[in-house]
Amino acid sequence: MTTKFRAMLRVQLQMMAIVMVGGLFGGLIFVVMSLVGGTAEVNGWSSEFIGLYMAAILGYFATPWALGSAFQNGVSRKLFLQTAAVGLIVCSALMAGFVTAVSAVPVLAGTGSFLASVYHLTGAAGTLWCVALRFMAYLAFAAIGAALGFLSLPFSGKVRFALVFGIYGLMVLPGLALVLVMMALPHLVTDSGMLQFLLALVGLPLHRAPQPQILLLIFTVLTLGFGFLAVRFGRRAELNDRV
Amino acid sequence: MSKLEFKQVTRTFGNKKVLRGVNMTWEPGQLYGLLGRNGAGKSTLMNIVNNRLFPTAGKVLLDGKSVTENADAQNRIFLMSAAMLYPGDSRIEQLFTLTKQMYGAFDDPLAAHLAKAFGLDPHQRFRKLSTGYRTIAKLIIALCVPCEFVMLDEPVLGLDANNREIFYQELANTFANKPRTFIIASHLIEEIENLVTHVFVLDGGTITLDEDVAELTAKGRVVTGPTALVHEWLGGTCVLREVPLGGMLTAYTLDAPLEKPVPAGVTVGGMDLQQMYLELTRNGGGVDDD
Amino acid sequence: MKFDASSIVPLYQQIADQFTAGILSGAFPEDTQIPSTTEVARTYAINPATVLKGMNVLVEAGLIEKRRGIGMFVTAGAQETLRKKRKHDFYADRITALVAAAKALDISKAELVAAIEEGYEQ
Repeated sequence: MTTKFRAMLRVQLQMMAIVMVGGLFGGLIFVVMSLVGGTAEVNGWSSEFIGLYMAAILGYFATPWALGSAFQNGVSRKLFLQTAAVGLIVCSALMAGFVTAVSAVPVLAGTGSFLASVYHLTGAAGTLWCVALRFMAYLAFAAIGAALGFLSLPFSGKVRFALVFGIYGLMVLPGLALVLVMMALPHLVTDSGMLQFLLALVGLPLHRAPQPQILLLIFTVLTLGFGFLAVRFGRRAELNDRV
Repeated sequence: MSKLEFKQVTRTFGNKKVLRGVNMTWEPGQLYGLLGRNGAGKSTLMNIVNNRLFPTAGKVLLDGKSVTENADAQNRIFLMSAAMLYPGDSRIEQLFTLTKQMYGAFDDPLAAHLAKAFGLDPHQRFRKLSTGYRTIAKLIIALCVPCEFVMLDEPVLGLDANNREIFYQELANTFANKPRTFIIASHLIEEIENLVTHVFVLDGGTITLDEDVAELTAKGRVVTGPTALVHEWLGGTCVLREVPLGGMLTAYTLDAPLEKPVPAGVTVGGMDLQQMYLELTRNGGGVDDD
Repeated sequence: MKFDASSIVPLYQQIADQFTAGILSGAFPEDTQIPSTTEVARTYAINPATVLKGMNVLVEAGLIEKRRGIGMFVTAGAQETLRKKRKHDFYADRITALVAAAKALDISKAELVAAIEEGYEQ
């Protein structure tokens, strides 16, 4: 590891730490709410969404933030992207561990985490599955965020900020809507072929045991695909006023 | 010792051609002036050298290898510019440390001396500084990096006359103690003309002048006198500009026939770099003026 | 010291001239150290290479010498050398010019001598 790599990685992690601390603060609010209001069931899946959203922001904002330091210190795009990847992997692992740990506390997550209950993940193997799935999910969302982040660099700050809500809408809200529909109208799933198809896509077929490996595969494909795009866009990134 | 070579460096933004094939060479241990009007592309050129922008065509070579995406080359090149690229909430001393980590070395004693000379408190956060002191913080970093090629884009932006003088003195001092190449892009030409020994003029996207300052000042003359006499003395000499005033004529030339005796009534004076630059770029300007 | 960028006299020559004047006036006494290239470059924000070129003019004229590891010193007899040279230059340039100018104005030799004598008496 060259000194430059280490220095650039440190800058990346500093930028990402800002997002991580912010996310942790948001997460703590949910923890307090669940402790005080007994809304542990809600917290069970809201912590999943906080994690995913943070991953997206890590890719979208924190990664391009560090470009300024890269430009000022003669860091090549290649080295910059390598350190960004390492930083995002570290953050994803930390978040996967944190969310899984928090979900294992009954008073916080009620009957367990959303992921574990939906995919029937129990015992030590189940915990490992949870960590792996979350890790890959965060990486995928970070890759999507980073790809969009580099692509939107030439846009103005306001547009970029507005895009955050776009990303949120695109990436998190459909899942949230699906969960709400399933909770509100449990019969709809058995009635709707479309919903069954969507659920089967993420490894939740109606009459068979859930298949978390399908979800893992989806996140892996997303990570690789958007990771490739992020590298493509990132390698072309140039100095502009927005960095 | 390595030199930096520019080979047909071209850069377009959309359909705006800012650089149209720049060719020049930066030798080691020199103090250069890079002159050009607003929008001439000086910053674009320096950004290409420092890998912040990519050339559309052409190459900048260090030891025969392109500096673009070249980690080894970029470790030996530094650019101080107006762009706000440092994390604003960092303290100045943290920026010193960051720079040291990035480049592997940093002249800490010099940084301490410069901070004192300029009256900059290294505990201050970068964002809290005034425009002038932000420039000073960046200048201190630029003078303390272990790089062979240090580009200073508008190095005195927002600096008052006293701090400008301190900067020029400290630059001369550090350059004398540890020769490396500095490239100064500034519009305050008269302030750097005793410092730089060679100038490049960027005009219309290409290098239109590439000369030693001593050569230029040895040849540049302002000739004043009765129109006929001035014309007679100059003969077929190439004249940059003639300013008639009644029967009198002032002619600016880079090629005065100094071997001929000057007729009575005609005065021949020297031309400083600023005046020469003005005459050379009078009709040029940025791409926006095209 | 003061330097004029728009002068026909090159900067390095101006530096040499200023040091010469300093030696002649005794501001830089013989056998004493003169400011280093770096010091001059720093004080007047001049390129060290230009300062060095100016210093070399003085070395070649035998007015200053390098003492290894210490710096530049005014040579013994530098002031006398300079004074002699100035005298020589005065006769060679000024007198010739003065006589030529006097002739152009039809001033006779006697008149010119008388004027010079008058100048000395004032």
